[in-house]
Amino acid sequence: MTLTARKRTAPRSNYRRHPLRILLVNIPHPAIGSRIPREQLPPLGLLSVGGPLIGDGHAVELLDAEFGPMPLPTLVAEIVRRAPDAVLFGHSGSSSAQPIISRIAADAAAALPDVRIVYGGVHPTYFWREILRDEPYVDAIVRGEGEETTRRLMRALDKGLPLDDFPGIAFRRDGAPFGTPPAPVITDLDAYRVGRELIDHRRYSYWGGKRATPTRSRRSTSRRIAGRPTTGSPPIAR
Amino acid sequence: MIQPGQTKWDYKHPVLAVRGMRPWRLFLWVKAIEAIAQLRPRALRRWAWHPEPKIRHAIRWYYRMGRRVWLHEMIGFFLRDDYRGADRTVAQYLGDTQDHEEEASRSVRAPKRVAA
Repeated sequence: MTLTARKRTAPRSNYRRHPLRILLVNIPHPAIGSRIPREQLPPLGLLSVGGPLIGDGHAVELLDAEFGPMPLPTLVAEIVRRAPDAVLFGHSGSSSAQPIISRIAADAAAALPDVRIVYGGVHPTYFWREILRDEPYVDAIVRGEGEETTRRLMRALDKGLPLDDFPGIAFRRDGAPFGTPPAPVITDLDAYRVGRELIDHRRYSYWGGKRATPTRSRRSTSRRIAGRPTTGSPPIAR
Repeated sequence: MIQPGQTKWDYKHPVLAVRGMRPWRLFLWVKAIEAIAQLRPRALRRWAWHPEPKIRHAIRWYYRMGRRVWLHEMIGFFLRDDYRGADRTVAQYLGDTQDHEEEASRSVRAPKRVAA
């Protein structure tokens, strides 16, 4: 079984089989909690998904449009400029973010016909049928926890493997929304490292407007996420 | 439902209607409760003289944010937001319940990691 939503129009001349170039996008959320404080917390969910993807050898970047916030046309233009193989939109608990994600994804897919669009998060976990029905540019939806399922999905997309072989995914099969069985809850989260190098921790804060850096603030959330310098992949150059 | 715009479905907007009370009245009651709770003499004493500097800093930060949010919500409710969807139900928006899909709380075996 393969994806049926959109097929590649032509192989890219510089297309590399491995790794995939993956762009994680944190959209500018409209919620008051995002807009009023004028400071941002690290997008922990996307970092948690990005870490295992880096570990798998993919080229991963994170675009955080919460800063500014970035106007939506600018965000779309930036996605198009980077021209990734796959754009992953994730958000937690936010039905309120879905209309914005849908708009950005539609515009990005129109400009990049070959790009894979993937959603993850609480809202898509429950509304995958409606999304796959209404948004033809969406290739797959990660349902439930994303650390392992997203790894498997990207691996399958990269190698052209069937998507119905592993749990926690939704996609179109024979043109109709299809969901595989639920993925089991991850019991050993330590097995999935957080993609700390995907963000500049100096731009993020904890409450109180205190800028948190891995070297200065010993009690901040950012520091806990940042931890010690990682021994894995080097920081992503932007 | 009283909030038809999905981008407003967060914890800082009134989304669901309540039986027996108009949305504007419920909204004002909630805002009044917030103001009364935060302006109690004991709460203000903590804001001014909490002995722990870090906690005092946090209290004052939350008061600053709360004041801006409170005013933002007042202006938004009465001057900006659209509540014309008041006659629709959650089911009309979202369809049937999905209780059977509460998969996260199920007890299952740990996933097997795939090789990179």
